[in-house]
Amino acid sequence: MLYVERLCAGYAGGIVLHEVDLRVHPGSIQAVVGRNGAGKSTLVHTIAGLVRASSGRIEIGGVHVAGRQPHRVAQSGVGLVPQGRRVFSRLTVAEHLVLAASPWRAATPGGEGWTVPRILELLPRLAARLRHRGCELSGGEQQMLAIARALLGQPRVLLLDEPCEGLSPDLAARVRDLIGHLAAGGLTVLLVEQQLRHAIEVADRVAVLEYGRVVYDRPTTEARSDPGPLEAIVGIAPTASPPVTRSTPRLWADTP
Amino acid sequence: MIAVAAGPNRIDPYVIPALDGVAYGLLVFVAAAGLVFCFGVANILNLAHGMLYAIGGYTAAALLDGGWASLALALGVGVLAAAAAGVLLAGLLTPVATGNHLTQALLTFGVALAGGSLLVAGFGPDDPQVLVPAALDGSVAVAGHRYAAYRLVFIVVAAALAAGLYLTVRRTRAGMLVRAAVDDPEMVACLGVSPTRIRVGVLAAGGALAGAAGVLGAPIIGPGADTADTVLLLSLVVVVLGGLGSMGGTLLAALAIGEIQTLGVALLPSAAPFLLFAAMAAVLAVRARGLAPRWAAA
Repeated sequence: MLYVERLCAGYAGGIVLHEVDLRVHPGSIQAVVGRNGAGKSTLVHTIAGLVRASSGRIEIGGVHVAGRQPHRVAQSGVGLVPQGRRVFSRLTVAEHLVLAASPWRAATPGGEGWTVPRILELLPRLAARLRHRGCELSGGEQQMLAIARALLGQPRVLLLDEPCEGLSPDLAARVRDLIGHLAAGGLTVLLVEQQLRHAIEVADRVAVLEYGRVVYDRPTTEARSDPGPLEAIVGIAPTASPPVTRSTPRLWADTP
Repeated sequence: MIAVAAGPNRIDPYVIPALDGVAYGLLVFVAAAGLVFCFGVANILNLAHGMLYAIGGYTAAALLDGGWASLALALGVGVLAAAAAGVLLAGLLTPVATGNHLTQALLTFGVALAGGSLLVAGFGPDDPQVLVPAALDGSVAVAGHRYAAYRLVFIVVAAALAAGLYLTVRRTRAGMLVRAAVDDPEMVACLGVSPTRIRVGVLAAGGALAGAAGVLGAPIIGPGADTADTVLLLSLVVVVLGGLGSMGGTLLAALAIGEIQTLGVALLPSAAPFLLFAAMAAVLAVRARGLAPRWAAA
């Protein structure tokens, strides 16, 4: 469902992702872990179209989307839950849901038919906060709203960039349960996670990014039975060399 | 008793300037709203915005003949022409839509100069006469004074336009998109909404508003060679004072400008040439983010 092949991308300062390969099947969760600056968020932004890929392929359900602008990628069935949630501070919860309920739903074959009532049934806390603005919500509520906003776009692929960041352990566990529930319903999930143990707990596969390269990509069953090798890669010695900086196409926002 | 009686007498000379200030402020609000949202939503500095108002003004001068039908026709033609000019501007701005404001300012300033020259060439260098409907050509009694009926009706119509704009921004999906785009345009794009569509929509709607203001406000700020510059200048002051994408701030700033330009000049006639900009500097010195109230951020 989500197929990334030899993907290179970066910013004006240089290439960040180097020939990244990932293959995420429908209904499965692919976790991506790595240190700060490894390129995890850049990977998510590149798939979402916020950063332009300089080379390589990104396929959503067989459709090549690399190089498309963000709204085209979203229309292709990609939902983004960004780092820091980025809910609209001026809009109420109800307005978020109205805005996110996509008018192009019919153009997204295979969509699971997320509706506002279904979202409120799944995330009842939002129902109690419908009249509150984004800036008035707690971190957990904002995270729920960011997930609800992404789901209402009828995604086939859901990109989650550190969804448990800043949440209490209890709330983070609930968010992970929710992610597992969504994948069980057939959604393809790419999960960027700082905490290796949390990634292993919820994901079907885990990949490690280091200096923008995938240095590990295995099923989590292996890591669950013997997390030692994976912990060694993530936590101790770098296995990839820092790449030579090259020039790269600029961000969409920088494009003249 | 004497003090109580003296109160109304001191206020009395300023009733009409204050009322004029409301009319002027509401006109500036309707004219400037498009520029404010264009800047706040599409991040485009459109220095051709005054020209959109001038299109409405010249349309009014050309079509108004003192009848109601001509007013309706002028309003329709003026709004459509200015909205079309807004769409044209959006097309011209496409290559620099994500560029810096200096590039956009240079492009739109060039369009304003060319457009202004075309309007003057088409309608002549003299300020044309604007004929309001005969039924509104007289005056009515307001607090013991005579006041132009057209201006009084204009206050009602402009207030209705402002209320309509407020409801559109607050209650419709398009309005939600505008407010969301002011907040985080990247996330709006990630919801599947094309930034180009938002940009064209905002410029067209801004043009329509400016065109409506140009037609209805022609008897107040009439069409002429300097009209586009005057309206642009006032609109930029509204942007500076009112903040971006804030309806409350925009309205407050426009009404403040209206009162400064009328009541302020009546109170301090010697300061008339610089009163507006002195007031703007004073507001910014005290309150750097302008007049936008926090509650009006949406």
